[in-house]
Amino acid sequence: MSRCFDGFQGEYYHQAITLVKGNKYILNIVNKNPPKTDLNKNGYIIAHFNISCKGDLTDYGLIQMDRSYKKIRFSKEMVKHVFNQLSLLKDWPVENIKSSGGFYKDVHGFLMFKIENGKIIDLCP
Amino acid sequence: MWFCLLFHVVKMKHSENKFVNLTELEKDSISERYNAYSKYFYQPSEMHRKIKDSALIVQPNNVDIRQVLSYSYKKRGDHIKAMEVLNKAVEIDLKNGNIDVLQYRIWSLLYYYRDYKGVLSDIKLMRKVAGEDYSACWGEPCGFHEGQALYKLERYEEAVAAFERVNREEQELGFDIEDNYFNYFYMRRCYAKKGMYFEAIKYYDKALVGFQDSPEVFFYKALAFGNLGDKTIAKELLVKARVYIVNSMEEPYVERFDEVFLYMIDDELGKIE
Repeated sequence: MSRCFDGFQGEYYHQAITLVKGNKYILNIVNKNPPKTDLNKNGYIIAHFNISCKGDLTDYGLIQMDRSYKKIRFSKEMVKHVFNQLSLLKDWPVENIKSSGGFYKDVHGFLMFKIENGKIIDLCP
Repeated sequence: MWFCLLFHVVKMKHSENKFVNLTELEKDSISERYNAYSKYFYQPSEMHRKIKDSALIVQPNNVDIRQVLSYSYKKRGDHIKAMEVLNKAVEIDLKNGNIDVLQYRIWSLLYYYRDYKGVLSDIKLMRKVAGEDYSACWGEPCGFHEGQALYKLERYEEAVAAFERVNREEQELGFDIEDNYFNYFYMRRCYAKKGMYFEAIKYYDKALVGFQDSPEVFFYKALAFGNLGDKTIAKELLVKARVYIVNSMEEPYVERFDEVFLYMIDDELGKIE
């Protein structure tokens, strides 16, 4: 899997390139068998990725922050779990990428998972 | 030429501020020039941010530039930097007795960071600084954001009171509150969460005055009728929700609370059939 074009990347908000089933669906997927490693931790795991013109996720990136928006580290197990579950998501609106008229073929997206006492409780955007 | 100037400013970032002896007018002028240059670049790009940084080196207390710089980080999903920049902008703005940037932070905390307690805390601060008057937080009434935060914290009675307050204030200001779709929508969500389905249906109908083909209203109204045992009406409404799904409350940057997606409607139809 790779990007479709090495140049300009669109952003998720250009053509509503977010999962067609919405955040509740994503939360249900990500909350399947989460590790119990971060029970005292609060903050956000922000998963960055590229959505290719084929609907594949590539070029993953990671930012972790606490509730005061400062750097923090969640356990490797938790981070790995989030990305593993994320890779299961398939319903990206690839046709919306095409509607850019070729202006871009890949889109940068991110999902910000809010974590409270080790549980993934909310999601944006 | 301007690029050389920019390079000069970026290079001196960690050394003495050579602009310190300029008048405020001169600093404003240079800072605004850099700000104008930054707009030649795509807002989420690194170049846009670098040139905005230059503008802020010259005039660090310019809250407008700082606020827009935070958008750039936010759009790229770099939320540590986005909030660092935004919090600084709020701090400067408040020191000047202004609440504009604080109001933007209220919007951000609600929709981006899902920090509902933070929203309430900022609204309290805003009212302390500026009084209790009706005001808007990034295009929507601050009281509406307060209501949504309370709704998400499951403080439903307080949320309803906040939504009613918005209606009351808007009525006093001469607005037509009948088309206040979102306010009625979340009010009925509060009633539904409390199991008060007749009240919920009443406010669903109010919401429909503002937005006749809302799939969200049809969907949640269907759930209310389902909970009251009327599967026939529930099914009719779910079918309508399905027909009008293209009108869902889709927002470009964030997902609104309780937005409805096609699979949710199909799941509910499956339960009835």
